Amino acid sequence: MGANTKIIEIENLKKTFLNREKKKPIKAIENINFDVNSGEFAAIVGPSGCGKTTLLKIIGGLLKPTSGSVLVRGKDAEHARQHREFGFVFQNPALLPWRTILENVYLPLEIISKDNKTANIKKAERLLKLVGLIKFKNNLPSELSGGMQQRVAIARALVFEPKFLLMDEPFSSLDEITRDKMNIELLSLWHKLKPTIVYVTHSLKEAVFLADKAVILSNRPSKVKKVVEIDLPRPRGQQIIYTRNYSRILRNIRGLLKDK
Amino acid sequence: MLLDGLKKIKMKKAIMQILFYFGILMIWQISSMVLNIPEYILPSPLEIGKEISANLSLLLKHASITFFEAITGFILGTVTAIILALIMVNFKIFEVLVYPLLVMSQTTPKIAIVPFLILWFGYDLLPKIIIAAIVSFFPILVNSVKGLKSADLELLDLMKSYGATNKQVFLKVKFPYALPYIITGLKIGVAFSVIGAIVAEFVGADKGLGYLIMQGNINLDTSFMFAALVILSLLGVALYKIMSIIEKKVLYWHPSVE
Ligand SMILES: Nc1ncnc2c1ncn2[C@@H]1O[C@H](COP(=O)(O)OP(=O)(O)OP(=O)(O)O)[C@@H](O)[C@H]1O
Ligand SMILES: [Mg+2]
Repeated sequence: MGANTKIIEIENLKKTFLNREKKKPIKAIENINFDVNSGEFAAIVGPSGCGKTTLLKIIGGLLKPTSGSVLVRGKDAEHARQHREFGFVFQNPALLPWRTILENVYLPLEIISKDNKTANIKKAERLLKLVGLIKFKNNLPSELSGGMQQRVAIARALVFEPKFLLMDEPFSSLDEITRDKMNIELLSLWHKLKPTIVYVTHSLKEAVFLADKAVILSNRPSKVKKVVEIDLPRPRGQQIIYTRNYSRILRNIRGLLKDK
Repeated sequence: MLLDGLKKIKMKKAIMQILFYFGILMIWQISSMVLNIPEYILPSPLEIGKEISANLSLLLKHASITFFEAITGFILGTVTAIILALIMVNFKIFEVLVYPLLVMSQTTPKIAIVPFLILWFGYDLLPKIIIAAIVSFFPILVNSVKGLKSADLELLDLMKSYGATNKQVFLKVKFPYALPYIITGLKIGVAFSVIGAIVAEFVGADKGLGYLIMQGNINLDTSFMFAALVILSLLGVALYKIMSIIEKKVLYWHPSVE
């Protein structure tokens, strides 16, 4: 598959929730259309509560849309989920507190291929090296900081080599300095392992720094306000945010958003 | 170094506890001597101690019967509670139908059904075991149901994305998440089971610590009653302690366990 093949196609997506008493329907997603290309780093940007998590879960086949469709290589997202093509990283790390870091990372492998424990451990150790936490493999999650736990969650999401990495504001609870560091680490992981990434964030700056493409959503019920291609050179390091191109793109997007 | 420090703190704690309870016993002993309280009203610790050592084998024999009733009932209650909790969590309709009945059954004082049980199952151990089972059942059930629903929703989503089977989800996520709740239920349940056995013995028995206390009462032998009571308390403490040790082993990861 070439670099610019559409791999995820989202068409006329709508999602309405029924509240507890099933009386008032809550429209979370009004109408969303966009594509993600193979190997691309796509960012979804939108204000809090606009339906980003909902959208990501629909893309990953965890939630059904009310109408419209998400196609992955022309087939339903649920099909891709059943073939274990999605690795998720959520807003909180969601580690199993009774398992060590290593055991947490090989959890998906244990479920997929139960019998080969030594191979599973090897794979998990490789990922822990990549995220720089191999020293902590025998610790419990409660002994790690929030940022370290989120790195474990990323290692766990990548350990079974999913084609897609779906990330939901993975670093939003971290301080700015740590977040910048994690973003650079994430880019280097992406270069090494080459999954297609859909990355949800509420920060425009973060989206521009990381992504090839930013899909900008409106307030709830969300629609796509704009899809912006970000043609900054790669590999990107911390210094890119001081370049003229970076500020120009950021300024352009802000201008586009104001017009509406 | 750090471990040594921890050990020292634990030793200090233990010494303080011993001194505290020893102090209380001293005060009791001294005031009982100074105020000259008659033995049949409130025996002094020394008198109780003498009574225990004089009757030790008798007390232990009856304690082992109460222990057997309580622990058998507790195990029975635990097994049924956990099975029922599993059914209730997996089949919503069952919860809707059965829960109100269970709650209602709990508002009936258990002692009121002992005469029926004696009528149906005789004078021996079985009615006591049943009562112990019934009283320990409910706290275990309620806690297990709550626990089995307490798994992190995002972890369940993750398990779905790995293609986990229901069995895998249960064994790797739902059950371990339920464990802290289940163990809380077990700790309450085990204490209840001793109470249940004793109450049933009060109503009608020819052995067990409850029977001994009733005998002491009839003979106005207050020291003997206290001796049986002390053994009974020790039995309860021992069972609770065992549960605590199991809790520490199983819940090594939980914030409530240091
Ligand atoms: N299971 C659900 N049942 C009912 N309403 C829901 C459910 N999930 C989400 N919603 C509603 O849908 C809307 C969008 O929620 P969502 O979590 O997708 O927002 P978000 O953009 O991820 O927010 P944040 O940035 O705060 O994470 C919210 O108004 C929320 O109340
Ligand atoms: Mg969200």
